[in-house]
Amino acid sequence: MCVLVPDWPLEVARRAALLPPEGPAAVWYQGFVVAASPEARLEGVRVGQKRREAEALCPVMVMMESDPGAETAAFESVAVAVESLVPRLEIAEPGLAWVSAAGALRYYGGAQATAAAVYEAARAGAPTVRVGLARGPFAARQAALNAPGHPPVLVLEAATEAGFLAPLPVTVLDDPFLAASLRRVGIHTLGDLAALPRPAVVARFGGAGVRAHRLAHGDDRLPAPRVPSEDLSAEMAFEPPLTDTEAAAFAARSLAAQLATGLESQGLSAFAVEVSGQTGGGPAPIGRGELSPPDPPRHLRRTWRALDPLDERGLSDRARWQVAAWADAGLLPEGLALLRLAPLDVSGTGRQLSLLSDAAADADAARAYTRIQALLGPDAVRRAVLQGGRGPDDRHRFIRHGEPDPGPPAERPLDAPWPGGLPAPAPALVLPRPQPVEVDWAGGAPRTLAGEEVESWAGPWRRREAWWDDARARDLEWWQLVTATGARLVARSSDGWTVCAIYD
Amino acid sequence: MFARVGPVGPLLSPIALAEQGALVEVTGPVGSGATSLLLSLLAPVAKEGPVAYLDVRGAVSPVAAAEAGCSLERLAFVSAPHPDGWAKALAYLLDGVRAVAAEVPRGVPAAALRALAGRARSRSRLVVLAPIGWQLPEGLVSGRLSLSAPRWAGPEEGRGHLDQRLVSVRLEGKLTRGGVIEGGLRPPSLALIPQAGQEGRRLQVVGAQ
Repeated sequence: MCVLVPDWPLEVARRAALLPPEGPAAVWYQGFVVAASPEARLEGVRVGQKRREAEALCPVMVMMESDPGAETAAFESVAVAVESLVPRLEIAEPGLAWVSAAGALRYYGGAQATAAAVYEAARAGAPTVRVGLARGPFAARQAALNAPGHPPVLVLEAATEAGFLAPLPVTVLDDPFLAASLRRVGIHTLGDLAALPRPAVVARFGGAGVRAHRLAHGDDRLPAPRVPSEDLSAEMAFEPPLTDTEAAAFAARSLAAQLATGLESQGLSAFAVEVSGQTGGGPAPIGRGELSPPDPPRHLRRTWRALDPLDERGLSDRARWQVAAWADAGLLPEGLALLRLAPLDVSGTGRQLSLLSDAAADADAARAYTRIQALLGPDAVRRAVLQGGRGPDDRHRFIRHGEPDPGPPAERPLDAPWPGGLPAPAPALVLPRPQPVEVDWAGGAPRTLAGEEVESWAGPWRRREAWWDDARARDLEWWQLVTATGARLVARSSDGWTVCAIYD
Repeated sequence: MFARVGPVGPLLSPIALAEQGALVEVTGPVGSGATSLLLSLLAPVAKEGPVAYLDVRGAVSPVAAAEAGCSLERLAFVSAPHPDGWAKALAYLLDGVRAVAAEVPRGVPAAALRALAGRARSRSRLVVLAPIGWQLPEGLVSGRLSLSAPRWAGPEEGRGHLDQRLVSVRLEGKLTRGGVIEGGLRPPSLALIPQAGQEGRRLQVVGAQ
């Protein structure tokens, strides 16, 4: 089941009188529009557009930056209301939440009754809420968006789901590149896509296509959470309980850092996190000689689910917003005694809710690299950065995966000229230890290299190494020698001839 | 039978191969350009997402990778000289990145190679294998690229410097649907150049869409 309040950030801003109650208005976050009023949408403003684009479409529109903390706090009452009916709500963002309704259906007497009950409960906190119920989260969201009439509640049974999804355009898949590709070959609706055989979709569109095909059939599911093998949750107890928002924010940040480190050490990323807190028990009031027992501490928890893996910043933000939301709702009268962040879904199947994105691909790669480093050592996975230099082995530096780039040694800027250096192309194989080799020289030219005839040659490129250090200084000459088997970079020094690199 | 004059287009399209999931073997004596070809095959896929070079000899040059067109931000250098670690590392990479170019050490059992091949195909990955000093078992890869006879232009009697190389390449296997493609390559470009004496051979471009 999907509980959706369209343009929630806008609603919150209007309630706080930060935006006028009528007229074109929009809310943006990190440069993109996240909510727009109906008048603004008439002018062509859409969620996901760049802020500048929206401003150009509707110059008279009032725009405001989103405040996720306030939006979370305002949504909290809606979330609590829904959770009182159906437990384990998962928030994707303030204004959008999913919950698995399977258990509740029988309790409330059927899908229609459950959805109607949830709608009534949520309506108190958010009059414009919409509810959709289907077998999978994508279809449920589409149902919520397109529920006709009043109340805006739509239940899709197994029989009617296909018919409902079919006429929807492929743009609802939230993947503009894939949508454009699909339209180019004449596939304009989800029905068209669902009608194609899956092997054909794989062959033509790859992984993104498979995911879209599954969504078009309504075959996605809220992933069953895969709990990590050891307990990676991070928690902190506070004695006395925290009452200051700054301190709570600091605690959230350090717990997020701890959790993120723990996840990375296992090569995992979290797609959902449970923020749980415990309120301080009230002090025993002393009066009239009677001692009342202290209020028992209350446990609060909320699950946040993200479409992309949660990094440290993502974990810290959600923890902060949630604690602030609890405080705003008056749920922490005696302060926060315990805060805990637990990773709930560390599986890659968290991505069933979204299509292939760069963040997900990079997360997959990062997970693979971390696993390899755990197996073979930190030097087993490295990336390279170019730097200024002359020889085959000093124009780059390696950085271990997961570590920051220390930057070039001060004396090696990439953009400075490096006269006397070897010209392109660079040899593809640079031997880690130069190998001694026999070069026969006759008549001022090299004639054989390791017994093979030298067909052509160029050089020398001279270099004096470590001239400032009398003990280590030596002269070096590089020569390019071509034989029937290929070209090699050969060095001559006082130690003799060695092969430094092979142009493979 | 017909002949075409001039470059006939790319020898392979790594992006198309990655989408289908393919294994390609590159063989040739050291100096014939196998490493450069491995890097050239990674470059187009590196534009779209993370890729990896699995290294056994510890010698691959990042500068050459950059010259071949690989974005160094997307290219991971993974080093696994021993067969056990190599097989596990490649299995992890196949889960994580879209294309892997791998030197293959001696001693990787054929069963492990077949399992890795299956994994690559089921996840739609491109894997380019360069066995170092030995040959892969039959039936493992969908295409075998053999390089030979590198000819360098540039150096003369002491003057000039290495400039361009022309390598003879031969592609056969399931990718060519039973035919054989022969021609020349000028690394890092993947454009196939028909060579003298190719008239009368069936030429087709593989993998392009």
